[in-house]
Amino acid sequence: MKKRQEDAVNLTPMIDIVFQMIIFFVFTLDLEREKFTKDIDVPFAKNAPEIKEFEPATIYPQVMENGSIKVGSAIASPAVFRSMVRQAVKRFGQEVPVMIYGDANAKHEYIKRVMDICSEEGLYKINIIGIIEKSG
Amino acid sequence: MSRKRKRQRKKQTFEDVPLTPMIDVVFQMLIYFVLTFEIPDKMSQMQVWRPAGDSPPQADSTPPLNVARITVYDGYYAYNDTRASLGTLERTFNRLADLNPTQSIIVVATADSRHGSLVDALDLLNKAGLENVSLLSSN
Repeated sequence: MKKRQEDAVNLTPMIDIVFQMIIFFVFTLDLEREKFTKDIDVPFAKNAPEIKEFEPATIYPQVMENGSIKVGSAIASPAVFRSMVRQAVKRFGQEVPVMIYGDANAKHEYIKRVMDICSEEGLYKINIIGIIEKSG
Repeated sequence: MSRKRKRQRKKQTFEDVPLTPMIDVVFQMLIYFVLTFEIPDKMSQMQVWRPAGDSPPQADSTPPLNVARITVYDGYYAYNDTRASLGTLERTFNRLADLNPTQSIIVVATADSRHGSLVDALDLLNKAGLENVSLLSSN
């Protein structure tokens, strides 16, 4: 008799809550965020307009402190990066947004190299990313 | 009631569907999502215009009179060739923005200047509301 009572613990509320939590985490899971590498120390820019939405066609070159260019989690040589920009311009036209995610300690010449590749491919409007608030 | 009969009757009710495997999997998923959960950083963007690639910027030539020019060196700034701190720049930008918010601003960054210094200057320009910013690079 005792055993039967234990079996009959009502699991429904727990399962309800667990499912709610799973749904929450699935919806807030943002795989897109992985386009930014963690080992880049982006400078703060608290007064500039916040990026509300990331447009899918945007190019995100990440410039590391030593000058290497990363796109996603892969290091791209300047030639590879140039061909990526060219492809993007061919596909989406000259309105492709470029957002540079640069390390605060990177020399400007490395940032310039990335911007020059973009402008040589016809993209003159460049956005530079800053951080308003770090999550921790 | 014989034991066999009892078992048969048990199978028919909904309550006896074994939930354990499902709960196991659901907990695994929950643990995965909790561990990978991350609050994203809040990011901002500063828009600048670059010169066309086929006409190299001539930062050293005399600028037009109605253009404000900020030069970012390694560790300090200059406003129209006068050395300036970030505080001075901020006051200057506010004055410029009061006069004309669509004022053209040229930011010249030298090759050894740090990206962080450039972003600080661009941030102040955005704070003052000056948005017509061109970014040149010099040696």
